[in-house]
Amino acid sequence: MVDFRLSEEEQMLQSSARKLFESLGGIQAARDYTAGKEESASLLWNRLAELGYAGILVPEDDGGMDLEFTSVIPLAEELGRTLAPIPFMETVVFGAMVLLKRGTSGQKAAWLPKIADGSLRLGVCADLSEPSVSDMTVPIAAERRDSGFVLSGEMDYVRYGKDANAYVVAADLAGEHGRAIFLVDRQAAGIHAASCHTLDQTGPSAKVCFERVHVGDDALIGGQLGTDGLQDALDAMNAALCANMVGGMSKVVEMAAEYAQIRHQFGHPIGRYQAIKHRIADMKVETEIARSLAYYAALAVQEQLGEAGRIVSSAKSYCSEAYERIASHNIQIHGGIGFTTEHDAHLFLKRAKEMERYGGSAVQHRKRVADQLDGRHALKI
Amino acid sequence: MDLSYSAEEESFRLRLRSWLENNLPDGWLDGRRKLPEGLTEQEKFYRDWHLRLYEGGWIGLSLPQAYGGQGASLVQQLIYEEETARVEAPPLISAIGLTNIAPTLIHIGTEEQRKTYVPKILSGEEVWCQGYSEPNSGSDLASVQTRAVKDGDQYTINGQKTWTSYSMFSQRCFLLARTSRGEKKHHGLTVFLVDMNQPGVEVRPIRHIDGGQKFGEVFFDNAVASQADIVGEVDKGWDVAMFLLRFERVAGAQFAIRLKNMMSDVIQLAGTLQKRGRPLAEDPVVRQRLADYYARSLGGYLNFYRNFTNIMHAGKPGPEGSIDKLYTTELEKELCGYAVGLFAEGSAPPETLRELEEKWQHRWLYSFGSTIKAGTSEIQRNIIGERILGLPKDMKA
Repeated sequence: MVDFRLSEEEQMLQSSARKLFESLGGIQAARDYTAGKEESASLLWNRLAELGYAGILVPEDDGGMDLEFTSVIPLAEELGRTLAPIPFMETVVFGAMVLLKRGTSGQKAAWLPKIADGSLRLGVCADLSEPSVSDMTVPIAAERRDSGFVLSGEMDYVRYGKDANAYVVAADLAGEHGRAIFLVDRQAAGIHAASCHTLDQTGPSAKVCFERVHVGDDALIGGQLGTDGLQDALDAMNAALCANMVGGMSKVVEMAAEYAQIRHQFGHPIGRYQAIKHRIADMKVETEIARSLAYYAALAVQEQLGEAGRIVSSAKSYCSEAYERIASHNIQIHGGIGFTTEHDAHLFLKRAKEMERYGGSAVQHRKRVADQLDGRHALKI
Repeated sequence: MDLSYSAEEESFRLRLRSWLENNLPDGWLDGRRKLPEGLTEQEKFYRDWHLRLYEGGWIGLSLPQAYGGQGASLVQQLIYEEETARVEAPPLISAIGLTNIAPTLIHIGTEEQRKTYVPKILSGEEVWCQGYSEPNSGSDLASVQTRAVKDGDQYTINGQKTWTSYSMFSQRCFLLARTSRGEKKHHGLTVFLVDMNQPGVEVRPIRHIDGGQKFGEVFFDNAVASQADIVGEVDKGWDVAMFLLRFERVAGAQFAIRLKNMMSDVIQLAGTLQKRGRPLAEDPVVRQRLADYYARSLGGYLNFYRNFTNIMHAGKPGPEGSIDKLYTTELEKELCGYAVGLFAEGSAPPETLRELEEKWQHRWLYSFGSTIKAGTSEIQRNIIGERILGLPKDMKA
């Protein structure tokens, strides 16, 4: 039966999440975070975990809610509405997916509960400028040692890298042919994380340096070399990012529409003028198209469709460019005050721009789409 | 969240698909989809096609069985749109009668009107056109000036309609005319069912930029209609004219599906056209553009289905249909323009090139009508801004 919308449970999840984030101050947590006050973000993360939201993809036996992947959509949207400055994508989505796809049963039992209860906050030390794992550069090297591995190298642009207490690390085996994925505790000796200059202060990046960091065999996810499951985890995170962006877009459209009704010039609310009215209408149209793509990307991940990569990349490339356009128009519509830091508009613009790069640029995603298109199966759903 | 169809729905689809394969005009499925040249030949072609569908039981899907329709579900109606779009089936000359006139008469016509007109709409014996737009009244429909003056039991009609689809082939016209001057301009309008085969009615076809002639001007020079030909009440015709909008539930389907098919065709075109022995589809710049159009087309197609889902549950369409109409028609225009541009970059063997190029030029030119008809893109933006976002209405005189 054609039923392309959120289920009732997912709709309820959305309204519960919205109420929660509003009760915690809405976008104020992001503003506090950018001003150096991290308590709001910690509070948000802990409350989120208390309500079980950190465990949405974790099996019940490991303390999670074990929901279908499409349940990420409503939660990701609400987080995007408030620009929540927490490593939700990296931990709840990416980290959980990597473990589910390639973790040993011991690793799952050890780490999934820590995702579900919020005690694990992950940073991703992999080249997230590429949508395809096979195109990633890997600046971290791993050498085998008696009882484990030694990691060396530096990873730039690790989002929330300073807040993380563990990292998922992609590394190339020194002297061998092979790639490996590790889960590394931040406390391990030799790890340093320093802030990078980041446009989006609601999601600051760090450069994470590994200076001969010794990890045990149990840190190698899956207990063997290889990157199986990493692409699925990255696609899942990109799908979740799309929903997150749609949440931001929706909020921005509301902001613009509200302003257009209350701001008066020349004796009329400015929303009466077609230049403004039509611009906001176009913003709304793009938001809804983005929403449909984000829903389908999540469905493709959930159903493990063969064409999931093409669908996720279609969604991500469209959403990130639409988000930037919408956030840009919003500033214009607000006139002078949109250009100040006193107003929230710039936060969405900066988030949008960061999202254009995070998880692969729009250009790279389109390259991936083109690689998977041919006249035969285009647009089959 | 689900995009699949039930087993019963799929078997309905297969039945229709197989019927189409066996009943489309010769050569149609092989890509030979040419309409006859002259209007007389075209009319015969359209009427034949309607008759075939009628005999096959595919006419009147959305109409109740009590009135001779098929009483099909919304999803079945959607499947019909999907399958006919898939094979680019010939247009239906009876479309206006079936989707607009018949439902209106069934719901708010008189019993006499229903008995007189509905069966002939279904059989195709009578083709209908819709007399709404005038040279001075397009987006501002309520400003129509065609006058209907009461004269005993009859009304005398004078004026001019334009953009009237299939008026050259029509026996009847659903006419919006002014019967009095009301307080507001949309008061004082009346809907008449007018006989097109009377001396006072003249039709002149209009040629549009793609070369076709799908609509015409209709001149009313002391034409007549009777009291019994009024739909609803005198001076309350605006409500009758607007009544139809609540039926447009699968209306967006044709735009969305045509967009999806066009996207597949553009990808194929990029594979067919070659430059220096390599398909254009290998060029990185072309690939970026194709992928961008693909994402945008996929989004438009999906959005229709999401909107359709909401309409099914709400029971009636809302202003969200404007999003689909605006987006898909504007994108189609741009996509077709891009396709035509590909012929400047690459080439194909002479046997296929000319026909291929003409097909795309035709599609591109025809697409300019879609952003104008059924509510211009500018009107759609007003609807989105005002009815969805709550923005204030335009300033008016």
